[in-house]
Amino acid sequence: MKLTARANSNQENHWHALKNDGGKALEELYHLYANPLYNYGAKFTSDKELIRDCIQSIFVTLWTRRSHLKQPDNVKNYLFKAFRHSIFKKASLLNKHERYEETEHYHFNAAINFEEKLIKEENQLALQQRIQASLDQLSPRQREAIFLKFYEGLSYEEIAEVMDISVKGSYKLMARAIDGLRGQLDINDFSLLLFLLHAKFFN
Amino acid sequence: MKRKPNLDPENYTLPDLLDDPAFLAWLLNPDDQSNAYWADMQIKYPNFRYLIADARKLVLTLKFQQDTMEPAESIALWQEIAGKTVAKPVFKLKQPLWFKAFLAAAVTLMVIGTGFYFYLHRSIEVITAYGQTRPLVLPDGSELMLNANSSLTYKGHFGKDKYREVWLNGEAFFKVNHLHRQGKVRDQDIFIVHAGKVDIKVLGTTFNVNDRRDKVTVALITGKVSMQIANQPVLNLKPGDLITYDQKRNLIRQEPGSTKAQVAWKDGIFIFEKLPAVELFNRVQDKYGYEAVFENPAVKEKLISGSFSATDFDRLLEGISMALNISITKDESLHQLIIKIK
Repeated sequence: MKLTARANSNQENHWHALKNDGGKALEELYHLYANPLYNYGAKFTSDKELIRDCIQSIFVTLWTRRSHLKQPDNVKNYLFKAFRHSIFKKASLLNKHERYEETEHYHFNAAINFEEKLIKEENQLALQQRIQASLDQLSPRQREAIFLKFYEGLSYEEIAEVMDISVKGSYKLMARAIDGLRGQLDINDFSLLLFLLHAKFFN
Repeated sequence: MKRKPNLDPENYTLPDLLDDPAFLAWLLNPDDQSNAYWADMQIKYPNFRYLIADARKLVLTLKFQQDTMEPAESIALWQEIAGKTVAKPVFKLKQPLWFKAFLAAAVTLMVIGTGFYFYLHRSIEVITAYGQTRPLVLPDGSELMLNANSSLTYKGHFGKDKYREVWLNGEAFFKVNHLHRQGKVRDQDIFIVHAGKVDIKVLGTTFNVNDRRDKVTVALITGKVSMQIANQPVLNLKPGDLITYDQKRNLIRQEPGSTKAQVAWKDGIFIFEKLPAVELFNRVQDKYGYEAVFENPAVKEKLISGSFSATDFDRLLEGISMALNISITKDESLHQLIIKIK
């Protein structure tokens, strides 16, 4: 996709600049990603203070370790991955004896918003509730994968990296998520949902 | 639950269309070839026109719930991070510590001594490039968001017993700190935005000022502001007012649109309410610096409604081209958008 290609070369520039000159590049990275990270974090926890702490800690780490860091393929991915680790750690989302890569015991709230004007139409409201209910039926990992794929536009490879699973695992996860949605919705609603998720890319 | 694909285009329904990988591919990544194909389908099968319009309506009205920081929250967090990173002093000299301390103190004193006066009275200009928006905090704690292709000038220190003043070219959204507590209004309680031939006087409010193309538009969200225009009586605005002063023709008018749409850009979206295409492309040019060239003048009159990304230029153009059913070609070298009917 041409958009991704352009975004990547931009990200490489940021990464390069971060290593060489520093301050300005860190600030630019912050302005680019602080809000997407915040949005991602808010799906795991409602503790805003904790989300801000995590954002702060990954940017401080990025800065102090900048001369040791290898250039990642994708800065966004690097930040999302580090951020997810940080959230899990600070919010103590892991139970004892539970592995980070496998845990199912966390919250991931992905809510759909219809524009107010349309909610007034009753069938739209019912549709929203049906779609929301079907999303709620999924496991948190599946919802998270849907969010990363359709909201943040990550590829399967990128999802695997952020969630610390294999690429094959990310395909499986998405397939199960989509099956789960298909089972919950009738065919019209399901196509509509898939379409809306796709459409997010240019909205 | 697998449905048999419907292969008869004449009886295609919305789900059929949405199931069609070619259709999704076209929506996600339109190119000349697919544009031509779907334009052709619309001519051959009139029912497609309605289906595509339906799909478009859905696309433009649904959003995921988004959690974002308030601009002030975001700035405060950055300042905290900057304090621990980029603003941290780094010493690389290999002198003993006392010498470094001495040197630092001497230099600091010197700099402070000579620079303090100029520092207090320096004038600061902040400029944004095409496509870039920027949050700012003023010396009195007031916040603002500066839109793309704009500049704001202010003094580094708002003196005591003086108006708080800023000079704006372009567009900005202001959240002015209310300093007036009670009794007589002092000069420093008043905040003035100078935009073109208009002075906007406020105590503490949220409002948007757009000063482009010889027109100054003020959208008042909360509180009170007064607009002072040379040789005109003072205008007192109330929340919800959207007032434009046309400097060339010396005309004042209340705009029909909503203030909500006017300020949506600060949240990264454009909201258009039955806006003629020609004005739409004026705004695009103000923000991104690309001039629209209409191959067919009739397009100028088309009306557009809906919300679009204001942060990603390519997505914005895709959204506009779908909503207006036109094709937009970007000419990078001339900084033009060539607009054609599909």
